[in-house]
Amino acid sequence: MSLRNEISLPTRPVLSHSADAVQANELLFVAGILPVDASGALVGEDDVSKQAQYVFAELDQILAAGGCDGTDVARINVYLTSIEDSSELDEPLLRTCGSARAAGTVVEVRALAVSGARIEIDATAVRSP
Amino acid sequence: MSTRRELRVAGQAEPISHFTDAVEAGGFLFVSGIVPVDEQRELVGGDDVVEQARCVFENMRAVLAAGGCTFADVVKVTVYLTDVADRPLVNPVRQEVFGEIRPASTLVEISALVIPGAKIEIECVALVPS
Repeated sequence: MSLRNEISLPTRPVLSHSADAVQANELLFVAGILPVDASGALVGEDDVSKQAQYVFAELDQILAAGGCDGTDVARINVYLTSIEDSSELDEPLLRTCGSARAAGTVVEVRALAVSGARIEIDATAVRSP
Repeated sequence: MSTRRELRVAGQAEPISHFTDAVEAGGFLFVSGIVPVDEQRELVGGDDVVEQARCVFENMRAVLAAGGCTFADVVKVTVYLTDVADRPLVNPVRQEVFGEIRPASTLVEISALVIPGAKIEIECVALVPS
């Protein structure tokens, strides 16, 4: 039997025709997370450090809703509007993944979907048995 | 059974931030974005995107091999180019590497990569042979 379950947290804004994550068997596909609150308003103002802390904290919530935690994350992609900000990942990434290390890709993009957002992350996790 | 294994591959540069080279989980091998660098994280290929692409694929070959995979097991690639006009230059390298195998693929232009001077980065997911 295959499992498919969409996860949409009430604390997350609906920015697109998408869910926050989709569980598919043991995989959890987490949608791109932007630094916005439930109303869709930007969080962290122009502070990329605050924005990074926020998106990883949101990732924690979405992982939990999908029966996973940071040690189950297999890969994370990070989209930054300035590649110089990549050092801002270290602390929130460590906090989310703990002793685990995910595969990762970090790139700079010209723009994100919400004006003022400086970071977006998405991830795939694999639920441990 | 679902086992998780994190791979740090000999000969590959130290991963950035709190990442590793690849994670095997759920029967898949998730490979980090690979940039054209040597073990010391020095750019390879100068400003030649074709040489850079060859380096990326050689690094990818090593990471896949460490996970028990080959290019034939790759199901998805995402290619990031700093100039999308380089696509026709990179495609022949992809054809050389993959041969008859055609993974699902996404290619986009991005405005910068973590390694100054790098023009290409590629990540992939492979299905680990049982």
